[in-house]
Amino acid sequence: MNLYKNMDKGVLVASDMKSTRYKVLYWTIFALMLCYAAIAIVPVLWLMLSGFKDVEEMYAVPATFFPKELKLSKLAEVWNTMNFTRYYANTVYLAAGGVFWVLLVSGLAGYVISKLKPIGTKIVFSVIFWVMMMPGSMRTVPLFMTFKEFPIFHCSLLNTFWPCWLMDCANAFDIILFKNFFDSVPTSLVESAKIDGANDFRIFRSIMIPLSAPVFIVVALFTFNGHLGTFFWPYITISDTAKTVIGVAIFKLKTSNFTIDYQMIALMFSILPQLIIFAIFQRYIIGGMNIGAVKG
Amino acid sequence: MFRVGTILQKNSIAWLLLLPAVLCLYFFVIRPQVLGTYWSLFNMQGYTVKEFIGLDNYKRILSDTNFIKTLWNTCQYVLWSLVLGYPVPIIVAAMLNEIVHFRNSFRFVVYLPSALPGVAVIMLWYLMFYPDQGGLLNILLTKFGMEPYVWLQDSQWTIFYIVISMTWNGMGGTTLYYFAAMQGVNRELYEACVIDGGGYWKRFRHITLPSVSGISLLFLVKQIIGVFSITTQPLQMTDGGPNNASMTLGLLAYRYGFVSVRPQLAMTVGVIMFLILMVFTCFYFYLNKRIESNSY
Repeated sequence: MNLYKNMDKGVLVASDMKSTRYKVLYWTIFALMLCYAAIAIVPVLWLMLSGFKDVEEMYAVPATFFPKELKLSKLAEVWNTMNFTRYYANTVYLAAGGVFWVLLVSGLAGYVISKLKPIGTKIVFSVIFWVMMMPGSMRTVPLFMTFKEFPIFHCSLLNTFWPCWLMDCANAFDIILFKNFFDSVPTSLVESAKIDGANDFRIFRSIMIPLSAPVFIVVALFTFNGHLGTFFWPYITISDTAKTVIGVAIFKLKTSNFTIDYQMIALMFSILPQLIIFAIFQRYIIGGMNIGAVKG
Repeated sequence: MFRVGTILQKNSIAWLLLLPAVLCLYFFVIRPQVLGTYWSLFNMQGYTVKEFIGLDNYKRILSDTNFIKTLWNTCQYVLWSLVLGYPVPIIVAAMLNEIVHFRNSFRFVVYLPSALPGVAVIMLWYLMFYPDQGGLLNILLTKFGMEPYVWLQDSQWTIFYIVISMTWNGMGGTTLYYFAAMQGVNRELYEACVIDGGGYWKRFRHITLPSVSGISLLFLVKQIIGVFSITTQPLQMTDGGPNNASMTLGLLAYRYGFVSVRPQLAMTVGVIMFLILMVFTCFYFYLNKRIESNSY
């Protein structure tokens, strides 16, 4: 068996592996990589295991890494006492709404800028580009005031998910991502559909969406994932406890009366959705970063 | 008249489809950006704008010793994040680049911490840094026979510990960008170098490193911009404490805006941050342009 048969992926090449020096180098790198993997995994594992310990066991001397027993009933107990069903439902609702609005508004905007190009597109696009690059450090308070009393309509958007959704739609980066991807769809397809009598919305639905599935999936995933852990805006705009999302709920653990083992299990619940999404859509998430890298 | 009519007809639907995105950008990016700057020149009562007071807010902020201390703190965040967060992703990517065995599993693990929601990561590290024997790091210390340590309560090092947790959370993405760039290196270059008798180090220094130097400069500036405006991490981890030792400009603006409700000061701090960040943003653009014109 040849251990090094696929050795042509990095700087080291197959012929290097004949010398002991490079074998030692390779396995040193491998060992260091294992250490790094431990640094990445151990905190997560510790979190998952420690929740099962009771408080006494947690402070036992000498301390242990593994709990004495895995009481699964404790999971249900924490879930119910903290009312996690509500946090999950609120968060999924927030995230799904965000995905819907981003795909609709930013997707359409990208389509218009890329394919329809009405008069004024160039100005709009350069504004979008500059907006993306502008540091927004002074925006927070005026934004909050906008949501507190929305101009023209004079209604308050506080205690709703609208602030988060509307800000998603104002994400210049997503519009540019869509625009760049749509640029690669041949314009002749759009034109021939037009000749056949399809309107712009129909073209968007039946041609652009199916042909650009990857960019839709990537934007949807990133928006959804981003909202699962969202904290700042829900924290300052939503005070109604019936609408608390996961991110805010676990931040409030710090000032709650729950014992540390309960807090840890709650924390575990909070990372679970994103862990599962990452495990399933790994390829899209890692690949999606590259779409952003090349074109952003 | 006829021409105007057809232009309107041809463009009206496209404009209509673009309108939601433009409105969102106006209300949630451009308008708050302008108003935030404008209102920093006013006195405010709660969230109601009162009289024009010129640069008084700026005089007040800039003469505040607390502000200068916070500015220095923020720079410390940036410095530490450069020491830790800048080289480590390059090193890990270079190691991952060589690994042949379990390559995909390693890639998964490297990205894992970045797949977790930010607020959960902060809470996880908060519990790991727990100053008594229950925290993971103190478990490790006591295992090696050392005394438990106060971690975040040690005001000299609080910023360093917060930066560690941020780096742990944020470096997965950056590492994979570097990794992708290293994988993109033309293999013939390595082989040519091998024929000329170049060892691993020579190949790495003269072929691999130059191929990532462009994006590494971009990441450097991007990281400075990102870390300079951090707000939520110190808010969640220490709330600026102990004794304001981990205060940042972003957190200062947040406190003015939402805790002590003096929003005019929040916007003033925001504008000062904007001016500093703008320098780096322009530099980023300049670099980006130069790198793009150099690449083939």
